[in-house]
Amino acid sequence: MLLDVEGLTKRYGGLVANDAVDLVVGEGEVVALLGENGAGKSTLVKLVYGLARPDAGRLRWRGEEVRIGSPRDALALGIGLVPQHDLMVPTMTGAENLELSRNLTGRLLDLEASRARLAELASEFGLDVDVDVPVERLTVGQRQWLSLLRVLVADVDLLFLDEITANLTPSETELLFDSLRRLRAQGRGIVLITHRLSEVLAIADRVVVMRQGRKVADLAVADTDERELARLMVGRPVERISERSSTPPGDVVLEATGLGLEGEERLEGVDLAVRRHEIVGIAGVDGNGQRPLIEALMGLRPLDRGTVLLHGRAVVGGTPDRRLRAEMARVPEDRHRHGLALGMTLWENVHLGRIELRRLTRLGLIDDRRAREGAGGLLGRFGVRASSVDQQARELSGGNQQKVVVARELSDDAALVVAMNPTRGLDIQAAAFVHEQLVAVRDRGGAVLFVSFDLEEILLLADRVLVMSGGRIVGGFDRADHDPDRLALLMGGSVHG
Amino acid sequence: MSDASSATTVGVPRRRGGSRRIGTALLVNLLAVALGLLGGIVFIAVTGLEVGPAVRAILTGAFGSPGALRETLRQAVPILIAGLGVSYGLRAGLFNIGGEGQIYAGALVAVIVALAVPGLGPLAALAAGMLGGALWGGAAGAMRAWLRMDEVITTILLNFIAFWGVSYAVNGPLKDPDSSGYPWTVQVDEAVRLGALPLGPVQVPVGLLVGLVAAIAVALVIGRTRHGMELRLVGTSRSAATFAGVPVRRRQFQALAASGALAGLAGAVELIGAQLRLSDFFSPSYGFTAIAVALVGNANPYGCIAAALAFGALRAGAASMERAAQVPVAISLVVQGIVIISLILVRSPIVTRLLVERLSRFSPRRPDATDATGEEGRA
Amino acid sequence: MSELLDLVLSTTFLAGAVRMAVPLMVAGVGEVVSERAGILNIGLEGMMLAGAFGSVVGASFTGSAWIGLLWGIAAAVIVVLPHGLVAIRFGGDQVVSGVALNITVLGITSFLARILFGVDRDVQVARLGSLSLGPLSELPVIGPVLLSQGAVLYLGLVIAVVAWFLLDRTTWGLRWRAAGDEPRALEAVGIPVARVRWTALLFCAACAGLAGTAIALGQVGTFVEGMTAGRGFIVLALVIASRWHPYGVLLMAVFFGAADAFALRIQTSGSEALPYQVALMLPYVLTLVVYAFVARNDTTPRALGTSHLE
Repeated sequence: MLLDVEGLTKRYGGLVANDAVDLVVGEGEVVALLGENGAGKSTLVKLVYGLARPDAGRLRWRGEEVRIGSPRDALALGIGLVPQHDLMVPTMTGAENLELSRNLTGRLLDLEASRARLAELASEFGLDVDVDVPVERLTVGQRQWLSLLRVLVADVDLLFLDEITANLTPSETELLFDSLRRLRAQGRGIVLITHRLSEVLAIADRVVVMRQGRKVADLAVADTDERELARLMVGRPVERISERSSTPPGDVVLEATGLGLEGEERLEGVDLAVRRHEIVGIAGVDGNGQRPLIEALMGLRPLDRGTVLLHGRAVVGGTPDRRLRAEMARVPEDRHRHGLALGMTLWENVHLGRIELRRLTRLGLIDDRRAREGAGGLLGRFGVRASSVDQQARELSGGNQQKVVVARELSDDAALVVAMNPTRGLDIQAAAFVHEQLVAVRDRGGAVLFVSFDLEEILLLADRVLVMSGGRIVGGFDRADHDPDRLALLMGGSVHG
Repeated sequence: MSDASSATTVGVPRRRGGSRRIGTALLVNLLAVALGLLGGIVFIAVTGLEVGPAVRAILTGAFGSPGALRETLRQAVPILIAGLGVSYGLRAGLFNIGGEGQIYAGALVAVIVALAVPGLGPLAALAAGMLGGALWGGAAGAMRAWLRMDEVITTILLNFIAFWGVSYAVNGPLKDPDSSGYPWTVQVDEAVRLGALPLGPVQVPVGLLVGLVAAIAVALVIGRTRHGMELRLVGTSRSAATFAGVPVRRRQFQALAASGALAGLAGAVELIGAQLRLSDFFSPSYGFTAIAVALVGNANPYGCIAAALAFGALRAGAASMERAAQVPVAISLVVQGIVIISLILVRSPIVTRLLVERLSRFSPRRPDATDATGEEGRA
Repeated sequence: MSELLDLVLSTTFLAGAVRMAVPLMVAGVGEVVSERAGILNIGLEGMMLAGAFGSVVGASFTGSAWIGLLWGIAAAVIVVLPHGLVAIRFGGDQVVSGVALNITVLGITSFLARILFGVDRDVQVARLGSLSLGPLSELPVIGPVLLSQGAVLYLGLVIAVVAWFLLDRTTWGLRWRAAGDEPRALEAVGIPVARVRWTALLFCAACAGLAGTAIALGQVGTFVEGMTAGRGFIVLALVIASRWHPYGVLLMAVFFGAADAFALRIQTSGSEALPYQVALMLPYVLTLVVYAFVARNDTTPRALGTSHLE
């Protein structure tokens, strides 16, 4: 027995991220840790790797109780972590990054030794990577190999792999699994954190399923199948609040054909259409192309291939033009980066990029009394809690900030709403409010397209669901045919689901 | 406008402006100025000079007589207008530290126009100064926007080019033939000069009025026009600006051009309002004091007026202190420097965080809303 | 034109170019190290000025130029401390802090110079002599140009080599570079970013102090208010043009030094062919052109000028 974790609990404020979680890993064993975004997988890893302290629970390493206060402690025991996004100096080569992490003070660099060690390990595990070019010039896959090799140099006995397959191609994943098998054969333990069912079945010996901070199952892989795992991962289907639109979908408002993008998060041949009187929800796990898709639709990002038509006219990526701003309400994912100017006042934020501001301008000067009154009324209608329209946006809570964005974007009665994770970080009441607004847009004949990493939100709102995986739309269904099992299978990358 | 029946939970004060925010900023900046003055006094004491006479001499030199007041105002004019220029750039997120060069560029174009066609009067000279400054600032703006060259570096380099250009002009083609060797031009004609207006016993330079008009204009453009709103948006968040459809690069270029135009205006006002001729020692680092003015003024035009008067008094007082109490005038630079360092320390993320923690511990939590029930009923 | 050509090709001109290049080179190497570690020093001018002042005070008190040199270095290190606090400890704006440093040091040195040396300021102190390399100094061209220069030149060359060696070949340099490109990666492997940045900044300050000394004790032998005359800013530009490499700095420093020497020669020879002001302008224009070409090339340390707070 390598690692034996018992009753690990971690609270962040009111949120219980890990609730008495157990995990056992033996020598020569691959354990899959399966769960949706936010199920508590990453928290568990942080606790074991010394990046966070548990509030309760016990850790045993090779039978002895241990405290792990920092990654250094973990490494000293023989526990290594390959994070999803490894922090390396992008301008330095693999060998230099290894030298840096060896953490030797005041010495001559011995790049030759680092290079040799990496090359040796690379050939041992069949992971081909050039250690003499700056890390930023490597492909995503090669970067993952490098960060895996960097951990293996420390000669660890137990290896946590945090969602490292998320950005790998199928053949790269296969390559990775080959090397994992070799590691297993050497008697090392491996914990593979993933949300992909096929990967669990392909490589793991045992699978631990987490949901909402709890361990809900611990099964031998031989005794289970995709359907059971999918059901365990997603849990019971939720009740819908919004009824289906009484009006059947109308004219196409937004149409995307053959969208393609190169880069870290790719898009491949994405086709979709959104019509009046419908809410289309795009489901999928984070990092499967949703972000570039939404940015392209919002006119922020030039496409490598394909076209986006808004009311039949092309959307050009770059700086969104007036027409696009008039016809599309955009609720961006990141309210701090895109949605708001935190250092500006609420009333100014309400008018950012809006066409209406022109009408409030007299002789070149904004009629700020009217602009502020308009903003006050609007924010009031959207239930924003603020003392005055002259407050800075940064002074508001996250939920109220999001309401400001939603209020601004929906105030022009645009024909189309495009939103990404519109309720992320909001409390239940604020989220329900945003949901009501989106439903109201549909009911007045608008079209709504939204992305959410939260499956419940998708099932709650969407009239039609599309599922993204690996930069493609891998499936879709109407709400009438809604089947959570099939949805989970699609999200897990099982195309035949 | 919202209909009266809807439950408004967000207050719309009759007058705009977060008074608490302004109050805090004022307090912080006064604290920095006080630290700077204190530092200067300590410095004088440490070097073994007498503090009492020095302080008295400063006060007398800055405020003690109508002549002293006039000198304070005269010193305040160029640093006010150039400080407005620095502020204009800062609001768009750009740090124009090339005020010195833009002052020279503006004064050069202004003196050419003033000497060539004196009949056009002072307004033409001022416009010419703005044009010269705008060219110089705009050059840095174009390099920033389209070539991604850091304006902090380019504006400094352009300072030297402007300075040597002026030096060439006043030693060569524009040199006063009767200057007996001094590197300067002839004086501009009476017709283009800005005089002074008597206000009680004090002669107020007309240049100060130009500065006040400029401050109001800048305040209106920055605060009340869509263009100004977009500039500030670019300044606070370029990604949010792009999202809102603002052409970020064009705005950056425009901001530095306008910033330079103001510095150029400062040069022109100094030319036709005070020195009357261009020389290669025309600006005793007005461009750098302008930075202190903008920072202490919180990049706010009205704040700049107060800061420029303060630094004008400091410059005037220090100059007379040197004569009266043998304390070197350079002390005013020490004070300016300490003021800026204090400001930046107090505004740094760490200190801000500390202050916020302290304050929130001692004051009751500020409610987000005036009407919490309206929220409940809605959700 | 042939007049100018003769001027540029003379050995005295080349020797002058190298002499003018020395302070730029030394300060440039220091600034390269500092910027590679992520700290931008707009206040380099002030640090050099403090060095010049400190060295003259030290030399006049002790009568020894070499002790003056130590004073110069100490003075620059002292004045950089507030900048380090702002930039490293408090995460404040590095650019504004540097501007403040320049203004403060200009004030302090001018003030103290008046107090210590009086109004006439005609203090002559011991100068750093040149090292005689015996018969080598007699060699044609190379002799006068390179082998009979002030000792600071050789010190500067040594510093450049040392800086390159530290940056390129040691774990210290690796950490400096990591602190300048991706400090979070440094933190992730358990190395305190602040300490790494402090060492780079203090190295830079020492170099700037030496550069100021080279101007005061190597070229003039006295202190004049604001005597660094914008050389700190020139160095900032040449560091960019050198693409943050110590050897690139050597090359660019000679280029700027040559332009300086050229202008000086034009000025003193009273050339009719070219006004000396235009000659003095050229290096800045050329730097802008060079900068325009390198600005979009991403060799800039990625985290330059940004704060990293734990």
